[in-house]
Amino acid sequence: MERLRWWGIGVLTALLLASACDRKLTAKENRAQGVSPTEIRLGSASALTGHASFLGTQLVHGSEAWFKEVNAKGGVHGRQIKLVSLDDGYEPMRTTTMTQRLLVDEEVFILFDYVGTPTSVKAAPLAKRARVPLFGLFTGAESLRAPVSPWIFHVRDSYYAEAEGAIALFVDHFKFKRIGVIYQQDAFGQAVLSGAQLALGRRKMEPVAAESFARGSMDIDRARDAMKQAQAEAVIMVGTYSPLAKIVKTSHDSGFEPWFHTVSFVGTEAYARELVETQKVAPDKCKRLIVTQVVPGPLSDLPGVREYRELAKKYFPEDAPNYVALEGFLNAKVLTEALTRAGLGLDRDSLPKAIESIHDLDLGIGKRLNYGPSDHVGIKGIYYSRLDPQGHFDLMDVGGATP
Amino acid sequence: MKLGPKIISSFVSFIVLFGVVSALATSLILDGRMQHEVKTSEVAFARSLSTRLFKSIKDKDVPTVTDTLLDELALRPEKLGYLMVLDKNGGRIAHTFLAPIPARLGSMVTSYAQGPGAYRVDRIEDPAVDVYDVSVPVLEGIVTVGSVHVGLRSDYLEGIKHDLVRTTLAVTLGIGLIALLVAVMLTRKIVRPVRQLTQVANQLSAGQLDVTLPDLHTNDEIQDLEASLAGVLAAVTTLMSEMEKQTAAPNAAPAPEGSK
Repeated sequence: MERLRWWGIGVLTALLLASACDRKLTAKENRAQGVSPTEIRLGSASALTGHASFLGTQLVHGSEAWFKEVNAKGGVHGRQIKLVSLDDGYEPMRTTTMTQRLLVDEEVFILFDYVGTPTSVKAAPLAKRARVPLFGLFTGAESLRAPVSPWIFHVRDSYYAEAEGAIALFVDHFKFKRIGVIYQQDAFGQAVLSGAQLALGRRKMEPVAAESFARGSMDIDRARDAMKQAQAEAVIMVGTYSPLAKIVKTSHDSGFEPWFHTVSFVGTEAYARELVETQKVAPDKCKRLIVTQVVPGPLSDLPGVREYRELAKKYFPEDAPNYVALEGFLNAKVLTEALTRAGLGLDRDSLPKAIESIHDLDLGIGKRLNYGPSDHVGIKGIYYSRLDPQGHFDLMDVGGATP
Repeated sequence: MKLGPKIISSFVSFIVLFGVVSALATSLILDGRMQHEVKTSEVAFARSLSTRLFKSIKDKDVPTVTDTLLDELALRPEKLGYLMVLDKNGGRIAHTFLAPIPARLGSMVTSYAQGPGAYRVDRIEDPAVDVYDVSVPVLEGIVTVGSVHVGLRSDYLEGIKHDLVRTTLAVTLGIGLIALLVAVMLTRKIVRPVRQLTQVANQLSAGQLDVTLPDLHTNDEIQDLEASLAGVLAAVTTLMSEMEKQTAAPNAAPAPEGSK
């Protein structure tokens, strides 16, 4: 009887403990979705139509130029790379639905070649939730870089790096004391403004004026007048090429001729066209127009850039060489390297490790790429470009530059 | 079985059984009552979504609806498996999935009882999604134009239940250990004097009268027992001493008549 009682208690307790520990398995996942023995499907959501369409189409063309060449040579471990490209029109809410469509309906392996800060900011939490790598964003937003996300990987450096580069040029090299900032009212504008404030703060300075204008608006008069009133020697501008070109032109017309800088996202070639063809900025005033770049000049003589021009001409002969397409090309090259390193057992968990294993990768662009578990930015540092009288932004020799 | 183990095992058995029964009762009560409460709170959530998104749902403004659903899901990912909005024919307008949608969700029932308080709770057990689908109709007047679905994760509900059962068991284990200590102390208090008195009684039964009774101040039945034993010892000692006296007397005087 006694023994029976002890057995009863033991069995009951064991049953309860077992039931308490029994958790049902969570939803099944296919970590190698989009990868077959013959194909790797990548998904891109970018601006293929609308005012930022140049950025989306050129980024994708640059990547496609490389992938087409890789595929023509047999692919990666026998797998052809297919880039499924959807249009988000640079509208953040459409980025969300397009990203969903890529993951759910198109069943892509990873997300690739996204354009813009507000749009990428929408895609990032989805990538994190789905535990899908998001690779090669055409944005330098710091919020997508720090803290380092295990799922987000960049090829280009940040807007903070671009702002630091501009401030270093104006303050350290040209010895300017009065720096103003005009920024677009959105996440992109805030990102670069923060970078400029931090860079000035490191030099115990602050902007002499900081003014904003509405996204998509050409109403820039108030911001321009604020810079003129503050007698800025250099103005950091953040926005799309049309309002920025108007700021430059109307400033010149009013006799206000500071150095104007903007970051790579502007779309350098479109900005140059807008300045020279639409706003008709006088050639003698071009040298004070700077764009910081995160990739070398598309016409430069570096071996990696020559390769880009050759393949772009082969697969997209209608496109003129440009910074955006070169960035897309480099995104594709780095990703291909990682896909190759991940091997036949490629999945969404092995790819991040493969990317992080890249050290000292030489793409022939004058800088070597390095990644690591706490470093998800490949190219470190920026390039300077300046408008020449022929209407092109060419790489600038900072050492020889004078105010 | 000795008195000590008997007391300890009875005490601990009772506590453990009490704990186990409490845990079982908790589990049974939670299965019904709490799950009902959680599900009805999701009905209220689905209704608020339905109201907020009414125009977007009616206009099939997919980006706006999707964006709102994803923002809501991000607030409670541990609780919600998905959020989904269907049109009146059961076609998907927007959802929060980031992987191919399980086939089982392609054929959701979207018929509801008439009236403003209508809702459905459907159990969906699929290898890819294991939820209680809590849904409400999106009404325009009395006409259903769609439905809002909240996938309440069953592992979330199970988790709450298991947490409570585990807590009850842990508390029971703690109380059981304390009970064991108390039982050991109590047993010592009772068994030690009983043992001492038993030893005295054994010595007496062996004819050893020069024993010392333990000095007990328990002020209970055991002290009464000691007093009784002391009385017995005194009586036996007296009797023995009288018997000794009588044994010694024939040497001093003749035996009385009739004593043979």
